Amino acid sequence: MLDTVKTAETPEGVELKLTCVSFYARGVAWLLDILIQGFIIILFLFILPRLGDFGLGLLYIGMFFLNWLYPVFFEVYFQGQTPGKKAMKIQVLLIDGTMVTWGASLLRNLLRTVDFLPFFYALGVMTMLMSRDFRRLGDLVANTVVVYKRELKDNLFLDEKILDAQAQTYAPEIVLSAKEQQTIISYAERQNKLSPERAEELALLATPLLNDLPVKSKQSLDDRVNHSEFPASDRLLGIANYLMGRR
Amino acid sequence: MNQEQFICAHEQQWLIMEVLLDPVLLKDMKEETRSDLSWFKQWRKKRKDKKKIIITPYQKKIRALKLESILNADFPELYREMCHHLSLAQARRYSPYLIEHLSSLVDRAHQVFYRQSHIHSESAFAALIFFFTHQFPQTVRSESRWVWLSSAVFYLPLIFMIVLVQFWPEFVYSVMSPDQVMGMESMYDPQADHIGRERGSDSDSKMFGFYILNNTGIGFRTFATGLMFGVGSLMTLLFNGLHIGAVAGHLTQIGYGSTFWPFVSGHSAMELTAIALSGAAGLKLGFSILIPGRKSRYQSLLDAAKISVKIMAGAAVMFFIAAFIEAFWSSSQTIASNVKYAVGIAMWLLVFSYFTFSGQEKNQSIKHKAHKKELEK
Amino acid sequence: MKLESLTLEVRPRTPWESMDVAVRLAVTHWRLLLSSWMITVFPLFLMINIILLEEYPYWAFFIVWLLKPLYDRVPLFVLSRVIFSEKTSWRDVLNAVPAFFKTGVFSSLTLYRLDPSRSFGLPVRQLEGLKGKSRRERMHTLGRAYNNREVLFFILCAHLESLISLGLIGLALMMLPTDMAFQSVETIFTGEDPGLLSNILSMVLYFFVMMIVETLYVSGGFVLYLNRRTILEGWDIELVFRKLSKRALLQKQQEGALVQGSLLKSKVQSILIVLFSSSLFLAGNGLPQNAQALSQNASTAYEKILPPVSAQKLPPEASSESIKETMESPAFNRFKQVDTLEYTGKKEEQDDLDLSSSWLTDIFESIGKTLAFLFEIILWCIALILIFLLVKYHQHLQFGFGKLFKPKEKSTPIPEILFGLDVREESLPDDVAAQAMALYQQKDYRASLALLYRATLAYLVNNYEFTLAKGATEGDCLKWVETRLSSKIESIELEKKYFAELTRAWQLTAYAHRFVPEEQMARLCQDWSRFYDKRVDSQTNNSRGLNDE
Repeated sequence: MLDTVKTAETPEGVELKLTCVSFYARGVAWLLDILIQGFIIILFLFILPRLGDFGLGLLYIGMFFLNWLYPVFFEVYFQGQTPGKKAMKIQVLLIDGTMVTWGASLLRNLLRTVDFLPFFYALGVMTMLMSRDFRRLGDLVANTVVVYKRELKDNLFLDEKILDAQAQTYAPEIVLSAKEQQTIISYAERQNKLSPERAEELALLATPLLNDLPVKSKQSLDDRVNHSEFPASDRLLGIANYLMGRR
Repeated sequence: MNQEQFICAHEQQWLIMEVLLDPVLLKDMKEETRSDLSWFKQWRKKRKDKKKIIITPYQKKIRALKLESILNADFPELYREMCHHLSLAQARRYSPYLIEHLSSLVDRAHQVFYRQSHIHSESAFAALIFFFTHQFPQTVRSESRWVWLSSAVFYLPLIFMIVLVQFWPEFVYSVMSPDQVMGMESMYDPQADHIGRERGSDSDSKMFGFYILNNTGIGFRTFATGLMFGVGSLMTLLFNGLHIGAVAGHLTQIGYGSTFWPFVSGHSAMELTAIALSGAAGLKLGFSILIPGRKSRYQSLLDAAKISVKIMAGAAVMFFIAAFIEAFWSSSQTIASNVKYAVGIAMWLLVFSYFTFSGQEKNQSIKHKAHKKELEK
Repeated sequence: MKLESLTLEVRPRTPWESMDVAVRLAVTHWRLLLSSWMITVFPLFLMINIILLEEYPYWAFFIVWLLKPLYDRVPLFVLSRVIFSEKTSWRDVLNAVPAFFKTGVFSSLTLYRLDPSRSFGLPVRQLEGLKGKSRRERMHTLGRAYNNREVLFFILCAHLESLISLGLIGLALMMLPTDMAFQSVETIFTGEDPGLLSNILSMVLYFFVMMIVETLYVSGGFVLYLNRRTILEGWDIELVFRKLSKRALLQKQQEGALVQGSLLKSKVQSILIVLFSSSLFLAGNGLPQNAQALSQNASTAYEKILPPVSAQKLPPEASSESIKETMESPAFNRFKQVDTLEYTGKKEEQDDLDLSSSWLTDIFESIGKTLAFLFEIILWCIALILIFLLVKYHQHLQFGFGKLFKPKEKSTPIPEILFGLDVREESLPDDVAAQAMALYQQKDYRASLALLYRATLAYLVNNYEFTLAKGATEGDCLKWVETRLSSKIESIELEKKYFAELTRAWQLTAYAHRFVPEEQMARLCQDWSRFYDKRVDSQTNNSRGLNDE
């Protein structure tokens, strides 16, 4: 199956899912970083030369650090995120899913020079197209990978019942695999984002779960929508309730 | 155990983990429980409370935690427990939301747990010192063949060019344009106005900044382009060697040596060695792909990269030191040439002995102790 | 369209992730994509150029650019087939070419040529075959409540195009000798009438860049479109449910095969009834035109229970209502109050700082000079401190200068338990050797050797800084002893030999349950008291010294 997810296993045996980032999002992040760097340099250019030659000296030092060590500093101290990456919600990790180290960060950022060749990361883009996890040369050498930072979704599940507590609880009549159970639950969770007709249609697909359902075959879907009757959907919600432990 | 019982049983731990993973939250909670807040903090707290008009039930739960339970929590233990919970939740097919929540907690905890210890601990400074007293010279010694190769590619053309220009002065134009040569001549002309006049600290600082920006940048590029099978590093080394040799040779040949050699003697040790080391790091990188030995090419590259980046980091600091010497010491006009030569030689000796001797720790200290004990008996 | 044969992992994704998947998709099928592009687009491209390039080069460029939406249909056709794991070759592509012209080509070449969401809308035209008003409505449904990343995506791809062209030009310039390179750059910028050769070259370059970027662009739009539908229609759920019912059906059939006669019949009947009723039920909802066909053919109803998803349309009103509801649900209505400080006093008139005025400049310059002076002093101080440290610790430089600064190792406490054996000295009996021998004679071989071994470890721990990682084995201990203890002194050499023998004996007893013969045990005990017993040490120190000699 085609996907961009890479799994890394922790020593504790937990699998981490790393979603690799291709050049689109990374390009935008890079652009934002360049804009920030450029802004700072323009600010310096505006202020520092007033201090005469000393100011120029500071300007040069500032340029050096901005150019070479700005990404390293942010990647090491801010969870692998430069400001641009933070805006795009992506981060640099080592290939095993741990935080990037000094050495790796320095390496991947020094090797930008090579990735940049011959013009505007052309080599970097080519390597990203060819490597499995969208890694540019610097990433390949430093053994790092750029992934989407996992953000915690709503924590509502801990507090509020997603499912209607009024809905009845049904025990499924056949044995369900893990994936099927999870799909039924995610059906219940996403159900209100689908249109009711589609939700009903989906529910009808799970035929074996709908035994002895009072089906009025003559009735068309529109009629049932008007009466807001969704027997199959309600049945699946009941099963989801059961699966989530509300028995 | 159904899901709700599971959540009830372990939620406390998850919340504690949540707080531990969020330093800001932890600090807040510590502050809140302390009664003797300064007026400033009280004011800040008021402002913060104003902001937090809407608190989700989840936040409420976190706020309800007792501080002691957080402070007493054992992070590694908690992390292991979390991993356990996650596996349980997966095996028991709890709600995807719950699994998502747990696995994101585990994910974050994993990153904290396996973080490089030097980054945030107080031993960062000690680690830095240790790097320069041990690791850096040791690494350079163990990679000496690349250092020698890079030195050969760099110094031989340099010396060759100096000698060549003495006999055929026009060869200087083979590596430099006439404009550049003119510029060089005017800089070191003993009759020029600026020679013999002390430069102010401000222009010294300017040059300091410039040398850092320029020279270190060249060093970095020398290293990085080594990735292209070493070709980039070789070219940069060769070209720099020829260039520096041509300048030195030409200025000596037209009799400006009295201003040129004292100027460069002070920082030459640091700067030339740093260039050679950046080249060596780049060569190691490039040749690790060409000559992988028994490893796969990619593995060999990965291993080489870890070592070479250490050399490069050390070389970068050497560039900084060279920039300092060049800007503030070499440029000084009041110091006698002989002193400058003496310092130059001292620097060369220092660099040489640093890389030869430093960090040679006796590994047999335990054997020594056993010896001593035996002898005491 | 069969969802089961999708080669793409289906799940709701963010737009950015969808773009990434698109790259992966295009790269996976690059051979087919590029070759079909070559056989269809290249002849067209060649024709345009042969006719126009010599006479009207700018028109040639313009037309090649204008026809992009037409080319887009080729990669989309290929992708829409390979994504459902249909075998596709360039022959299929050629056969499909005439059909491309029926997919709203005219409007997409004229009215919608500059539409940035071109690739996102293309599947609606080409795969769903919608036109005119129904197309617009469909696009509306797909695009609503959706942050329009397809526009951003268009911009990104436009940049990618210029980036790759620049990269290729740069590569070409790198290959050329420097003088020629400068000349060719000059001719680009001075805008003199370029020759035919340079026109051809840039045309070829444009073609190749277009080939790569358009493929990525179309594939990106396609995956964005698929993802949108996955979210709206729950494709991932549909997939699992379909598999579920298929599996359940199979299972029931197998069960049915086991059960004999009438039972079987009734079961099959009941399944058929369920299927039939649900198929009728379904036939009623989406597509009435399919209903008859389905009811006629009830035995195969299962396979065709659902009409192809692409043909289903959500009634826009209903979906808009549901979206409205969703948007009003608490998940979308959380507010956060953010306070910021705003200056409400009078704004002061801004002084026009005349920076060119001499006194101000002077002040700045003198500040700069002072700072520079301070800076230099600070740097020199640092240098002096470094030199001072160097001089002070120069002898350390040779043998571990950094020992002073070595990262603090946590002083490991003397271990009290090694692989389950208590190695504190207090825990040992006074006369170890005698006790061990006594235990041996009581036939408690294991305990006796354990005691001896434990006592030896205790000695090592307390006298030789014997530290091992948690989980070390007896073998590790032996290795430690053999490598770390000096071998120059004879007595230590003997000790090492003794330890090796003891370890072997202990391992035999503990793990293999083979017991050492009595004379060996006796020797071991004797040697033990010779080497390690403190009381013996103090008494027979002299004699031992003689022994060693």
